Amino acid sequence: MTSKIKKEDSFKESFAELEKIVQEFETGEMDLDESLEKFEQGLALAAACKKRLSEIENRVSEIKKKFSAQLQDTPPQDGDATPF
Amino acid sequence: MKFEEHTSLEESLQPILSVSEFIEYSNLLLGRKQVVVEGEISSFTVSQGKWVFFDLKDASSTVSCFSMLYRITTQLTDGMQVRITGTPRVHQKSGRFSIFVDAVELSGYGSLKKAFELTKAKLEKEGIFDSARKRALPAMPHCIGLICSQESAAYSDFIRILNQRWGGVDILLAHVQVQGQSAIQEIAGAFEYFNTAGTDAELLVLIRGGGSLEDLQAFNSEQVARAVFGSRLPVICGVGHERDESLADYAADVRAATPTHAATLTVPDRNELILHIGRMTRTIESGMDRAIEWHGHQLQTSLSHMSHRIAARIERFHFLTRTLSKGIAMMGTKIDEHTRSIQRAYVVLESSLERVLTAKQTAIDHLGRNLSNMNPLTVLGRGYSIVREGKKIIKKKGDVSPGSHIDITFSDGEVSADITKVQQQAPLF
Repeated sequence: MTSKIKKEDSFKESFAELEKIVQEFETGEMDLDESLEKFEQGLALAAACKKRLSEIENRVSEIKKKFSAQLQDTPPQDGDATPF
Repeated sequence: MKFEEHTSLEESLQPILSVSEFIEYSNLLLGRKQVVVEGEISSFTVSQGKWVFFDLKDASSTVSCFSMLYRITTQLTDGMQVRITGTPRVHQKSGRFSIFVDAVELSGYGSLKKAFELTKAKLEKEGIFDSARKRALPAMPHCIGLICSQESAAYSDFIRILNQRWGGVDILLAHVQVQGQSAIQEIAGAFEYFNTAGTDAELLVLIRGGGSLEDLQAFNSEQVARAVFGSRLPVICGVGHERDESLADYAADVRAATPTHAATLTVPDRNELILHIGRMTRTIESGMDRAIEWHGHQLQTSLSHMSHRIAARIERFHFLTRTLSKGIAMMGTKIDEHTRSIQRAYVVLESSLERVLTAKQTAIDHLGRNLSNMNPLTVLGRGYSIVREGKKIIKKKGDVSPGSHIDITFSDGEVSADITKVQQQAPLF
């Protein structure tokens, strides 16, 4: 389960990273070397994210348990105890 | 007579019970089966915070009911139409007939609406519905808890939309009754489970399809509303159709209009994200194009600047070279001029010098001749003589006296003499 969560987190991270790179391109403040590097990185991230989005399924697992909330008070013994 | 006969016959067939035994026996008969009775509540009272008493009546009859407060899961007041589930019994001491109520259900729209209003007011006052306490949902959950009926359309709709939109989610399904007697306990129990069992669920989804106010009762109960409010995890609640609003909806962190809507709130839409990624890719690409264009332009500009600068430098270099050459040429000319001036000056100087020397020479000769005339020896040659007494030259007769020893220098030498007499006469001339 943890490795799966790590995989999902890395998708989130990749996606966030991609958005960051896009912002850098929008502000247009980079030099040519940096631009080329970020360009390659960005396209790789986009491809990875797209792939990830296209492939995974959901999984339903039923909790095998009967649910019943705890009642507030324990019932007293008998109706005979009623004060009438 | 007949009666006495009858009774003596029955006596042999019928046991004779005491009152207590009779009541016990009656309860045995009555207690075998639970009944469900519908009627209107009146004289509803709660005693010692524990016991609940009310009468249940219809047009012509009334029956006493009693219960424990904890079993009453809905707000009740006089006039409400209800359906009670319970066991008839006779009170041991008083012989009084009543129904011991196990559960109460509201019936009829009026009761339900009334109970709804009462519960809503009560919970609102406690801050159960406060928007300030509502929590944010995680954006891309890996694991969710789903509380609903597995057999319902709500469940299948939810799952279908979830699958369309997103993948990689673990759905922990807590199957519960969503109407009827056990619904409230089961739903509350499911929330309790997720609070305590330590699952990986990051949020909970509570859904139920449409129905009447009676069908949705459980979701308007105080217990379910409190369970939703008290959930450790954020809750999305989607009950009924769009126009239905339940207390569970109000208590939830996020309200969905329908189970389908709940799915759209739980996860993002992958297609939308794919489009968004496409847009981002295009932004990066056009950004890159612009960068290349800009840098290319910069480069062009720099190069042309540079070539201009170089040309300017070369031009300057040539200019300086020419200036230098001219300068050198001019200097040569000047040097020649100066040399000639010097030469001329030299010539002038030479002749001047000659003249000066000649003049001087003449002057010297002249002075020489003068000097020659003044030579004492020449004077001596003419007959004069120098008289000395010792070193002192005698110029006057008074300087000597008879007996003085003198030296006399003639042109050809010296003689020595002694003075014999000093003449008294004045000189001849």
